[in-house]
Amino acid sequence: MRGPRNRVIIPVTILLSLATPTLRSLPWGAYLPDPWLLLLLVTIPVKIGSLGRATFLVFLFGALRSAVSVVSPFSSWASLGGALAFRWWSHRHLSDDRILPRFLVGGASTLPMFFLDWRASELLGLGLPLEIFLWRSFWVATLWALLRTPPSLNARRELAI
Amino acid sequence: MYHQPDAERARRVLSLIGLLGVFALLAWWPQPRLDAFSRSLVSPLTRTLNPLAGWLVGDSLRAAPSLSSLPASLDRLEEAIGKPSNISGFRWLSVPVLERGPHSLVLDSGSLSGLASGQIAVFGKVCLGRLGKVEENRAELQLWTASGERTGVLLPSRRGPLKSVCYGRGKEKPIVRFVESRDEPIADLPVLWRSKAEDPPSLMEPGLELGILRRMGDSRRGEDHWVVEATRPAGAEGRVFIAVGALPSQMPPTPKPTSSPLYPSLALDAVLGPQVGSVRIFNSSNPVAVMVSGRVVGPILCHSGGIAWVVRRSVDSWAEDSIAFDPIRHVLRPGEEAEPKDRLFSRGSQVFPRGLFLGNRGQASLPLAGNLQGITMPLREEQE
Repeated sequence: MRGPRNRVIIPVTILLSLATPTLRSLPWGAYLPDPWLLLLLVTIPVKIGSLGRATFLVFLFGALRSAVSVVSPFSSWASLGGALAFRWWSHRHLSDDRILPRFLVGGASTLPMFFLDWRASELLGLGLPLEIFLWRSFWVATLWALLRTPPSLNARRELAI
Repeated sequence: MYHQPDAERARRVLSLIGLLGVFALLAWWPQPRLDAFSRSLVSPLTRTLNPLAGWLVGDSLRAAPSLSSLPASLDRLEEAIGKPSNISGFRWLSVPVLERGPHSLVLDSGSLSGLASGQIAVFGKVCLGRLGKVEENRAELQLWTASGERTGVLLPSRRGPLKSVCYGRGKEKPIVRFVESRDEPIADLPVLWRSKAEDPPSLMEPGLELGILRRMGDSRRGEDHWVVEATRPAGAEGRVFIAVGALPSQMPPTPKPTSSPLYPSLALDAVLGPQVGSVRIFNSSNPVAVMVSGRVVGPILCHSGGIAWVVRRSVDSWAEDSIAFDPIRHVLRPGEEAEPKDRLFSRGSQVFPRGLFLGNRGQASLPLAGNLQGITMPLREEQE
């Protein structure tokens, strides 16, 4: 499973890296979630099986992100690696069978990127509005909450049937 | 599947979390050398993906900027505005400023151009101070406001100018001492520079000003004192005029910033959006700014694999780093005090050239399109 999955993930990430500037140029592009973060959260399970694979993907995604952005590779690596660590930590403390806790887990995983991207914007004197970063975090958290159908909803459906 | 022992896995997890912490610290407080190193690691990817991503973005953000009339160069404006009126027996030598400090300026000429210690430096009608240490091609101008500097002054009064001495106090306003007792000075009027006994008398002819006289403290309690609110013309940061007996036959050329062509790569940043873009550099130059149609697009932030990242700045965002020229009143003023219709030029620093045209106040940032030029810092003697 490990080999083929990486063989799919890497080209997809490269294509996504090429398309992201185009997506950002759309009218609402600035508010779209960070694609590398989203893909990393989907690719790496909460309970990380292989540390080596997770580390490899964090460094690869961070490098691809910095190839199309002025944001430093350190910032990208810290944001993406921090996202996995925050997600794992928050997941341990919150139940994952309801949408709201899953939303909170998704939100927690965006915290490192939220602060580091905002800091990069401040350091460059861009003064980007905080709402942009809030909306990006919100979309990541929402998608994380909806990506897997919570067991509680499944149970309700079964009852309804 | 092989499972590592728990202790070994915990050690690896902690090591990785520690590494992430270090990365986060380096992202929050960037270290230029480590930052450049990390960018060099990803430079093969940058070199390949950046132009491709730029090609996908297409021309939607690349409308070439319209050409507007360019003003005269800042050098010429400083020459025209700052040259004092003629005085008998002297010529005014125009000298560019190399570095500026809060209490001194380093000038780009020295004894080979006829400069000598003790000569006075002027911009327009304002006296700036006297030359201190003079080398062959460098001279230090000690501003009269510098701590410990003594300057003879004439204070305004109803019975004619009162002789006095002014002491520089660094960050504090210079204080006036030993005021002639025949009359009371009048506050809020200009203070004139007074020559020393060894100075040629003709230097008093233009009536050089130092600043405005102010009364500080409570006079009812006898705690008042006189200070001078110093005037430092904005143009004096780029050029000063020294009174010399004769002009040198040949002045050393002033180093100018050089330009080289750049090519648009990515019109907007994938994380930070359209305020940041990238350009490709095909030669060995190390540009610090990007210009198009004679106007600055923005400063270059960093290089990586032949790709340079540029911040597109609006004209108003340069405020503190600019000099404003008022084309109606024909005056130069600091960028923070710029008024509508003023034309802004870069103020210059150790890492950014002075005198680049930024645009008219209120103008938006330029797109990274058209014939882009990379501006490189002028090479000084010690760098050549």
